[in-house]
Amino acid sequence: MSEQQLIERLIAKDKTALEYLYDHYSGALNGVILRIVGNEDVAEEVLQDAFFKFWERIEMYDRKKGTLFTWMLAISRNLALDKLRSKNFKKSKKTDDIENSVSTSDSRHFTEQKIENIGVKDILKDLNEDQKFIIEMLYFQGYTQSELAEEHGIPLGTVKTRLRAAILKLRKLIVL
Amino acid sequence: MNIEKYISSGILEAYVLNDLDQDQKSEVEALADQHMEIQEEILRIQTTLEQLALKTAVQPGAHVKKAILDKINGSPALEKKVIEREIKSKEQSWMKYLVAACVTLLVVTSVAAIYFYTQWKDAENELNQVIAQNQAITQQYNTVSSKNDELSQVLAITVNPSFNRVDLKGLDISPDAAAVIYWNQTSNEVYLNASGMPQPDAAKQYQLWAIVEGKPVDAGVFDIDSPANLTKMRNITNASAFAVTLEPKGGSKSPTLDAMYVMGEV
Repeated sequence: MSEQQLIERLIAKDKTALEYLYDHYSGALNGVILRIVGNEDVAEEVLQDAFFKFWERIEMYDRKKGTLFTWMLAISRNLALDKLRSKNFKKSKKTDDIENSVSTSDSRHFTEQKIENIGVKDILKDLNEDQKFIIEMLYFQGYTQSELAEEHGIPLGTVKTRLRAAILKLRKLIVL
Repeated sequence: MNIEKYISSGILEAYVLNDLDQDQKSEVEALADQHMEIQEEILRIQTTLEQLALKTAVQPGAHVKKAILDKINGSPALEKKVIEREIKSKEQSWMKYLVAACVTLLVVTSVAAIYFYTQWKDAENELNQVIAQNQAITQQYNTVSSKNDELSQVLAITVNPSFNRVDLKGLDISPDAAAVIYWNQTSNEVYLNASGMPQPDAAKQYQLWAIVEGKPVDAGVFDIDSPANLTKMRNITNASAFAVTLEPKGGSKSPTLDAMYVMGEV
């Protein structure tokens, strides 16, 4: 099925088209969300919301701005970041972090550790430390560039160029 | 502008990560429309991040797919939200009724206020009319009452046997003129009814004379007023006759004999 056909079927509210989307992209989107929110249950909640949004807002998709998958990625990341920034969640995550730092036997923390290791390390292994950090923070943790610059005392321009370098490197590693 | 430099600045990566404010975003999109290289670079960055996502996929639990399909089918998983929405819409419709009720109440009270204001104004007008009528009636009553008093007085004199009636008859210069005297010879009171006299000139006034022992005695000047009225004149004793002359206003010391209008003997 071409992307154009898929979009047309989604607009026509064809449920099998949404199933197709789910079967092909739920894992990738769930991975992105999970690395941002850091909790499997919360990630799955956000994933549900994301798919519901794809279903309801498909008319808003603009081909000129990128592929359907990029659109879906952007929505998923935004929902995950919204969740992360929502007051209650931030609090509980922070508390978790403190608890985890003293008690490594916490089972959820163990799961999270595993998640962060899945796939990511292999892919990032050829990046240098700075590039790894930038990708980790901006892409997987959902920091904004200015947040990262401020919190870690890196000039904003440096953040930008490191991100650029990291993505160029990734492109060679993944796409080719 | 230097496209290569722009591309290598890292702004396009930030754009793809949705890390730009609206102005910067619009700028990138406008430049992408103009420059194929920018558009292609954006696509490459998007593809890289897509691939990164696909390569780092974490499969969600199997129940998630069912939950999503249930949700778009409007089956049980959705019901809670639907109910919430219904409650919300019920609240909204309840609000609508409340607003409608308020508006209705406002209209009703406004109409009632206008109605009662009009009624009050009408009542006030009616009251003013009634007050005016009442004043008119009071005036009429007072007129009638004083008339009645006069008539009672006239009657009391005319039917009183102590008063002698003396009819004064018209003389040559005014044969139709007439006047009547009521004279009480005990108390000496003299009352005059001059309704039968012609109206004099404004500069002149009638004067009543009593003839006492052959000489005229001034009994006072008078004006012509209502027919039934009696005018009290000066007290007179021992008169043998009464006569009326027309004199300059205020009267004369002695009568102008060729201006004598009426006369009558006791």
